[in-house]
Amino acid sequence: MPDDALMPDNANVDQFDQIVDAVLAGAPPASDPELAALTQIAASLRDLPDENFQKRLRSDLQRRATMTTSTVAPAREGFRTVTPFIVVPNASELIEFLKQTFDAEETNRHPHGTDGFVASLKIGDSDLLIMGGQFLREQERFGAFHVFVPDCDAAYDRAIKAGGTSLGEPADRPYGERSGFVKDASGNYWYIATLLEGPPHTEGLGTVTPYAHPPKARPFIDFMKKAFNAQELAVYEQGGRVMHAAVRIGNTVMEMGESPDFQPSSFYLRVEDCDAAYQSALAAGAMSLWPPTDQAWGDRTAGLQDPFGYQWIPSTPVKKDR
Amino acid sequence: MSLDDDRERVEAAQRDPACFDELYERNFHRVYAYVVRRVGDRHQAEDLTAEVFREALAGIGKFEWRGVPFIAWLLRIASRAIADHWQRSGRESANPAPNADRPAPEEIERSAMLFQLVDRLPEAQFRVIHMRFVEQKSIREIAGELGRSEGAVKQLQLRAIENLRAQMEGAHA
Repeated sequence: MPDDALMPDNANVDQFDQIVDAVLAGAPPASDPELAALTQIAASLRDLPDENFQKRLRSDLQRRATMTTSTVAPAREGFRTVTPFIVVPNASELIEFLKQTFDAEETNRHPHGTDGFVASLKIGDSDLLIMGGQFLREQERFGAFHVFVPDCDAAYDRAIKAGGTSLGEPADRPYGERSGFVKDASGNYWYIATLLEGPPHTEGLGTVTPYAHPPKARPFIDFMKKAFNAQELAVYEQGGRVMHAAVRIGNTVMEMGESPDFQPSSFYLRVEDCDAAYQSALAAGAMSLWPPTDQAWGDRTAGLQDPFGYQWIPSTPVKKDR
Repeated sequence: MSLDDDRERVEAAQRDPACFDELYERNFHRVYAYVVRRVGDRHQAEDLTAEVFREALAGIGKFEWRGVPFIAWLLRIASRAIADHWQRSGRESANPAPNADRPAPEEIERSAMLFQLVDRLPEAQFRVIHMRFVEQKSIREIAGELGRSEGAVKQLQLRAIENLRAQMEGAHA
């Protein structure tokens, strides 16, 4: 309604203003029924928010949101946005060197590739990731960085548009991240990641999960898709090699990692207490491959080989404080 | 706003916190109406409303969709912030909490709708309502600042409130 419409009657205008005065003083009078509805509105307007406050708070929230977007993508616990990632075959020697020289602390190590591992180290207030293993001997050396971003797919697309070469399209990874891999024009590798809420493929994981080591995982996965209607859940590729993958057939998940040499298939064993299962297996005559260790993807695992040559990996979700 | 809209906007803000803006615009008046009804003081209501939205923005990533409107989550944060506030101020002054009763959801909706309708009033009416009810100025002061007669300001005041009543009734018809 425009405000230059017909003027209300002057007596009403004055009478109503007296009511507003009384309302603002905190004592709404018993007005005549005709004005009662207006008096009620006036009483409610005492609580009207200040438009300047609403605008100030909006700007404050926008500023906070920008800071959140640009600097603090959720990262894995203990990680900053960018973490240098060193890739060398003789990583154990390098870690020893860093421990002796800089008092580095190894906080986590999990097996990787056929004979390798990825370790997290802390030096002062900084983190460092180191991948090692003899399987890296023939590969080119590169500088690599792990980066947490709010939206991995969008950052991956920007990286490709900016001249990067894809090393692996964004996909949900078994270690609780969605990530894509890009090589920049100078040859550096960027592992662009967004943290996933919880493990990406927990449904269908039984207590025992078969773990295969095919020489090539892609044709093996394709075969299972065509033959058994398998569904691809996660494929973790690095340098053209599938390090870890999971597929679902019916109600069962099967996991695998490529191995150029023959390796016996192993069994991933989900138990309540990884340490107790490890001790029981040792007592029953198994040989330790690695002791119970908290892994980056959220499981505590140990590796064992039974007296018949089969490998077992008891695992328990890492206990979280929250 | 349907639950689907609500969910879409929450998920957008979880992907990109810049999208939180829209959740703020849609829920500001409800949160403020709830808080001011319970604490009864403008400055405390502003501090607490700011606290609610800052906490909501910081925790949006942890919000889990369970089919309950987003405003319910905000009002839970508000309720906790008010309780903390009373605990703090109670320790300082030993005063009882001013309005421990939670206002009914219909009352919150009604106040929030009224506040939104004020934003849509014609500019002159909006100015008068804001100066009179938020800044608590007298008709004479407002007339002086706006360069209008006191009679014209009173008329704008009545016209604005009649406008609001008509729209509130229309909305509830």
